[in-house]
Amino acid sequence: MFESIDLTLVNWSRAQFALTAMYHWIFVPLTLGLGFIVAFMETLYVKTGNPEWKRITKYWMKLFGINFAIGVATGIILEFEFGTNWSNYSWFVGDIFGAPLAIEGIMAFFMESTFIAVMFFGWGKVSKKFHLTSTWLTAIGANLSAVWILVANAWMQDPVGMKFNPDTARMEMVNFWDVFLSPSAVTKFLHTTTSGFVLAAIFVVGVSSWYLLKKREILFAKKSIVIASTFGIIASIMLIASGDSSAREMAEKQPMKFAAMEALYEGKTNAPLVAIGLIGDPQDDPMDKTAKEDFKIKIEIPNMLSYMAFLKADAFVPGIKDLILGNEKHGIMSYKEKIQRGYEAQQTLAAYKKAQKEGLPELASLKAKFNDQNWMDNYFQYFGYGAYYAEDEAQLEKNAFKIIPPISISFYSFHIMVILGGHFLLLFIILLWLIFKNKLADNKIVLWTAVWSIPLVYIASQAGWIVAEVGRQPWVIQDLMTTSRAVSQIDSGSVMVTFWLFALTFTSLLIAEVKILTKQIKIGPKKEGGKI
Amino acid sequence: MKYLSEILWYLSWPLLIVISYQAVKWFINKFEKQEAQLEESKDNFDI
Repeated sequence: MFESIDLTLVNWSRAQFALTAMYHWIFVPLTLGLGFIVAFMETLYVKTGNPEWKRITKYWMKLFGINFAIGVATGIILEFEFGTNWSNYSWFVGDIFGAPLAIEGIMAFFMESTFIAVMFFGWGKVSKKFHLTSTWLTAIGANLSAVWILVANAWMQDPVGMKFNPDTARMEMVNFWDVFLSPSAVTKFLHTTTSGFVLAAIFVVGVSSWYLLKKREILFAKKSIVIASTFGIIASIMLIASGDSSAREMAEKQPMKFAAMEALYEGKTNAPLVAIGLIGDPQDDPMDKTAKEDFKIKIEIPNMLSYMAFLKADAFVPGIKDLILGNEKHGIMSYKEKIQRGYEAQQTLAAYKKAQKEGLPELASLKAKFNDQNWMDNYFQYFGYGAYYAEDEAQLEKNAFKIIPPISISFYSFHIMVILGGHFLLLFIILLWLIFKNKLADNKIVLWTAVWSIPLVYIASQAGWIVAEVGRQPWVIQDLMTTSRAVSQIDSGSVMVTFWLFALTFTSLLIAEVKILTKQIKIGPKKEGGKI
Repeated sequence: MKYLSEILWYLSWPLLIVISYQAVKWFINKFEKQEAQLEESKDNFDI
């Protein structure tokens, strides 16, 4: 089945989408969090009437604006890529994926862009309260537009609320609420937006700490740190809670991703969580039956992985090999079996299309299968696995080992994200504590740590998406469609050329953003009365 | 109710914003009072 797929095309298309998504995600989280920080500041200004708060608000709003403008450019390209690079995917699930994506577009372009104009250009032209409302609506609008793209993403990881139509060979939405209110969608939204809040809080404390190190704008910097640290602590608590919920969702719906994240080769009861670890010889795919867990160094927390996955310290957590080879004792079906069932589903669809085209008598009986819930649950559910089918038994077994995400990337991304998340929470607490002890301005170590946490928070943020997206490979839609099958059949050369063009454009945009931001940070907040 | 826990999870998000703002307001008030006291004690020391 693989021979017909141009892997060069798949890899370049994958690289292009990953590049666009990663660049887009550099700009978005700051917008998500900074919007609320600015709204808090402006509320304090409107409530107290203190012009110092207006000055603080205007300064952070200016940095918000620079980031927002550049972020929009990458987001638009991302949406177009679904059509240009992933047309098979768009055909297969456009009826479901299109709806949240369209709402996202409406939210992003209408709500955000309307109120952002008032927020930037409305100072002195509209009433204080109307301006404040616009600031809040810009922050809420940015996050509401994120809801929909995250609902769409969650559906790819946990496809629900749909029915397959064999006549069109497309998935169709039958229950919007199942899609919108799926547990995966909720946890993804909470985890992603709160990660943006933490990123923005680190950005604010980092920049403010730099002012304290330079002994400039002391009161401005301290007030900004108090606001950002408080928001950062509360957001971090939600980040941990939603991450915990997300882990349980993953253990149930995407057990392979969960096992890869922990580099868990063999399943275990009372499974420990590797808190810190260094993998020995990276054994990414293709892996085989002889592969063993291999850590050079590891520090484990006993029973924690079992508890994280199933809220039971003695629960069995399946490892990579259990999932591939199956585990009868724990009721886990082997990948070989899933491949065979998926292949049967694909063959049934092919037979149905043939019968439809040639008017064959078995058309009705074939169609009945797609309406039979039992058959759908036992065969069609594994539709995507059929792509790995091979007549030869040995080849089929070998193919089963190809359905593994890159283990070391998943493992390290997950651990970097978690460790850095802990570091940020600790930093917020220390900053707030030192401010109230009136000792922050003299503590250069903490101030420099806050400054250097700015690049670290971007690394953590990207690592989160790498876990989510690399960890679910080879699926573009969990169990139903592989990434290789989703790609548009276009010339790989043109994807390669556009990849480099995008890489160049995005890098230029990033350089521009960093330059403009650092210039504005060096200039600092203007005296009240100065124009924004 | 089928979606109850998911709805409650979604509702925790606006709650997070409200709690954050209330906490911000509380810490800022505390900070401003502390700064005012420091200024005052500094002024007294200068005299």
